[in-house]
Amino acid sequence: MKDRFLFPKLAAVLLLIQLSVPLFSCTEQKISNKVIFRGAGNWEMPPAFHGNPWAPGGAAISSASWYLYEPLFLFYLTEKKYVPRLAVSMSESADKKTLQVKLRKGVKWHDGHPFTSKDVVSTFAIGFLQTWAVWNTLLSIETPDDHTVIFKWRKPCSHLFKTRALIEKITSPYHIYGKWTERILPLMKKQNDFIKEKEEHGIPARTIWTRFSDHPVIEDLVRKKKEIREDLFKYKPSQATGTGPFMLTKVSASDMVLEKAKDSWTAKNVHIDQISLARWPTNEVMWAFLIAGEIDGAHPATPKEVAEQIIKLNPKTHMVTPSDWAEFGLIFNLKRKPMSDNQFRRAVSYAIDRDLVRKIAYYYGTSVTEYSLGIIRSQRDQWIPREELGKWEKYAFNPQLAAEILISAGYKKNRRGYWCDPEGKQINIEISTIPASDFVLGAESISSQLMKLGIKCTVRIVMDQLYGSKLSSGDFDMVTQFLGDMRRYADPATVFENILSRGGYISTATQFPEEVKGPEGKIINVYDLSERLQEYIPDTEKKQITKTLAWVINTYLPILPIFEKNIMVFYMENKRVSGWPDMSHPGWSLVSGGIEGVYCLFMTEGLLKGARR
Amino acid sequence: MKPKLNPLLRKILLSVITIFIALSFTFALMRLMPGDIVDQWARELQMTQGLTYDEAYKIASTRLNYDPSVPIYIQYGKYMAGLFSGNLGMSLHYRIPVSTIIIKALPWTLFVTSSAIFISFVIGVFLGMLAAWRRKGLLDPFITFYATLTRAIPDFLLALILVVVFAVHFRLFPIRGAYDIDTPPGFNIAFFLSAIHHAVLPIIATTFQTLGGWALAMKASSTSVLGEDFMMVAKAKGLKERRIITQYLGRNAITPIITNAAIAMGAMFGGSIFIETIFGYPGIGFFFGQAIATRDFTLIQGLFLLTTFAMIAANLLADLIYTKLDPRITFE
Repeated sequence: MKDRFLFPKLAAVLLLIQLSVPLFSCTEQKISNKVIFRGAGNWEMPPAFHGNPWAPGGAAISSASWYLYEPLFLFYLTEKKYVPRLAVSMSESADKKTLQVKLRKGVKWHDGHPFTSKDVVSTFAIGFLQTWAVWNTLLSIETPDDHTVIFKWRKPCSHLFKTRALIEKITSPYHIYGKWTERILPLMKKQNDFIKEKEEHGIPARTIWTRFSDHPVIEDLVRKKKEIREDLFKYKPSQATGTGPFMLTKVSASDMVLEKAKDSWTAKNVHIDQISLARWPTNEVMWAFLIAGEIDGAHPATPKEVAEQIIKLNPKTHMVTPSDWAEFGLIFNLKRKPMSDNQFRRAVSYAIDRDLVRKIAYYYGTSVTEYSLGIIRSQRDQWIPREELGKWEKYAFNPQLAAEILISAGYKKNRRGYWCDPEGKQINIEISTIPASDFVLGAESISSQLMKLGIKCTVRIVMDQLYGSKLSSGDFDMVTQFLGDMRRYADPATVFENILSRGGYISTATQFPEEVKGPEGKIINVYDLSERLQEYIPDTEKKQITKTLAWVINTYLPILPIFEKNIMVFYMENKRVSGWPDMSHPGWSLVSGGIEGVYCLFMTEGLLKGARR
Repeated sequence: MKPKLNPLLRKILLSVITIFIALSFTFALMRLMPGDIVDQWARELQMTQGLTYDEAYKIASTRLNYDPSVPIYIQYGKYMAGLFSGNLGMSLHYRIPVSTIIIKALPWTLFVTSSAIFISFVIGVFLGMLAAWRRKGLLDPFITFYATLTRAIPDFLLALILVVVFAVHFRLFPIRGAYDIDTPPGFNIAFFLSAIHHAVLPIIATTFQTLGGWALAMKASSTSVLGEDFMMVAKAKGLKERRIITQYLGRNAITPIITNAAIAMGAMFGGSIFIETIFGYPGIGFFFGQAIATRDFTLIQGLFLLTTFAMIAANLLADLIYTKLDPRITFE
């Protein structure tokens, strides 16, 4: 007999099966004696993921890279100290044009091959193919023996370029990548000869590539490099081969598993057997992970109330806030009225309660309440003497002074209570920001404070993809952005190469003039000074230039820093692992270069162990 | 007399033309979007390495081995030539064939979306029918309220709530992924169970949002059927209520809904960007989101082709089904 209810019955059965599967499937992890560290991060999803560190989708750009690969040295930013990893020592020649690095003996790649100086050459040669910035100064790398590498520079090497070379991860064993290395080395020589010839005519090395792009030698180099690159990109091993303390064993869309490398030179210190990484979808999901105790270490930007809730709901969670070595602040478009008026920018700087913005946007930042220097707040005293700083204008919150500045500069309020420029036109400012919660909250807070003063101000949220072009095309009044970037090198050169240099991303946005009146009343070329900072110069000159450029920023205000960003690192003590060091450990200063590097350091130093019973 | 083309053939031909126009349109539209993959990368390099934009752009273009300055008509010609030879191109970001990404991601998306459509359709249609039949009961306003509410809640927020409640608080389901990483993928029970277990929350998230829509549509359709003469006759004949609802009301009211279901099946090929991103689910929606963010034109085009094709095929299918369900309607 035909069953009239066959369809609904079938549907109900299927539905029941679907919903009852969890009863048969176990959600809890299988119990094992392994010490597992659970982290979170990102990597390309399979099928895109592979083990070639150079091709898009490779392991080197994943969160696992710090566990897989190691650099020659780590650089502690707070102590300005190099910590040996794959290298054991280094020595520089008196003229700073040669850097000899002695490599650690007994280091092995994950496939068992010994680590030698050829592997360093192989990594830097492919780095040359991929236009690493260090090659603007680096001339060649020599290998007198298996455990010595000599970096030869075009000119005396600065701290910035030396550090760039020393902290690069060594990712390319010669026994795997040698076939490409051997094809690259002749091109390197050809390019060096060309650059040397041009440099003799006074043309800076970093500009040669763009200035002579249609020269036959460059065209030939480009073509050959492209061929090698295409060939290199085709190589997609399923596993990554590094020298790091962990080996990659499993990768899925949502998880990545690394097992302790038994032959690693750090193996005797490492007490963690396995690292399990979860995909990091959004900060909101990470908060849920942290509350659930799923993660041993993560650093999602979190509002104060949420951070407190996480710690309350999961009492094993602790938080440290090391500096991100960058500041959050405003960029002014100096080509647009009224931002083009220095007096208006001064008034805005006095009108904003920067500490209040910090509390609203990013509570755990460090307030910048007085000056606008470019140099991050925590490093200020190292570069600018206090007695000198005391003579400079302080932009402490003072809305009354802001109003007085506007009045003395010819601005007037209209009947509606809004400020008008000296021509009588009402001021309407827009603050552009990316759709990140801290950026939007910061922009909204600044906007409401300016409105309180009577400056009509609105906030426009711009998609990430369009933000860069908005900045470079000058299509904005003010934007919120990271400024004063001293990440990875703790060097003021990186601050000013962004804010006051030819083509720097902030100087392009602000349209800051190349020449201005300096602190002693003479015209100075800020772009030249900024470029000089990147070269090897005596410490006294470096401090002098830094001081001069910081004065320029504080006086002409192309930017206004609001707070120094501190990274909120949540870690869980004694659930799966224990032994987290406090903030006095200099390793925390590495967070701005990649937090996994910090976790890995604590593991290889033997600090992180299994939970105490 | 002019020779007449077979109506079905004509419909298929029209569908092919529609696909061609849609593809050309999206191709042009994508190139009009501000920013490209090289530009994105160049700006990142400019910010992190202190380079000028021109320097950074050259480096980015070199590293990607891709030159966006190639004239658009040449790019279009290459793309179309590739399509006709069955080649969807190479993803600019991932550097693997677009077809590989689609082949790997599509089964996950189809698994979740087809389950969700099936569940929401069955429950929604049943509830809609009941609500129309018992118009003065509580079910009718409840369904309207539910549908309004679920349409108003963004899918990513709903997904987050599900994660917090069912994965974090009650620990009933996994927080992320498509299967347990310790389970080897393949034709085995453990993998099958793990995959279903991981799909439950994404399925609930999708079902929860679409269920109200089916219920409302079915209610509207059923209400119009209720006024038909044959319904009166059925009642007058003294047939049982259950039989009237299922055999007379349901069977007649479901016709337009089935057409919608066919179209929904076409839409399911696109997945859900937010739900798949939040659950770390390796489906089409996740890759769509990534491709848009990185301006991976070839991948976006490949995914657009898939969804366009699926939608048009679903429309064609809906037309066919409709002619079968309602003999009064023909292609003519």
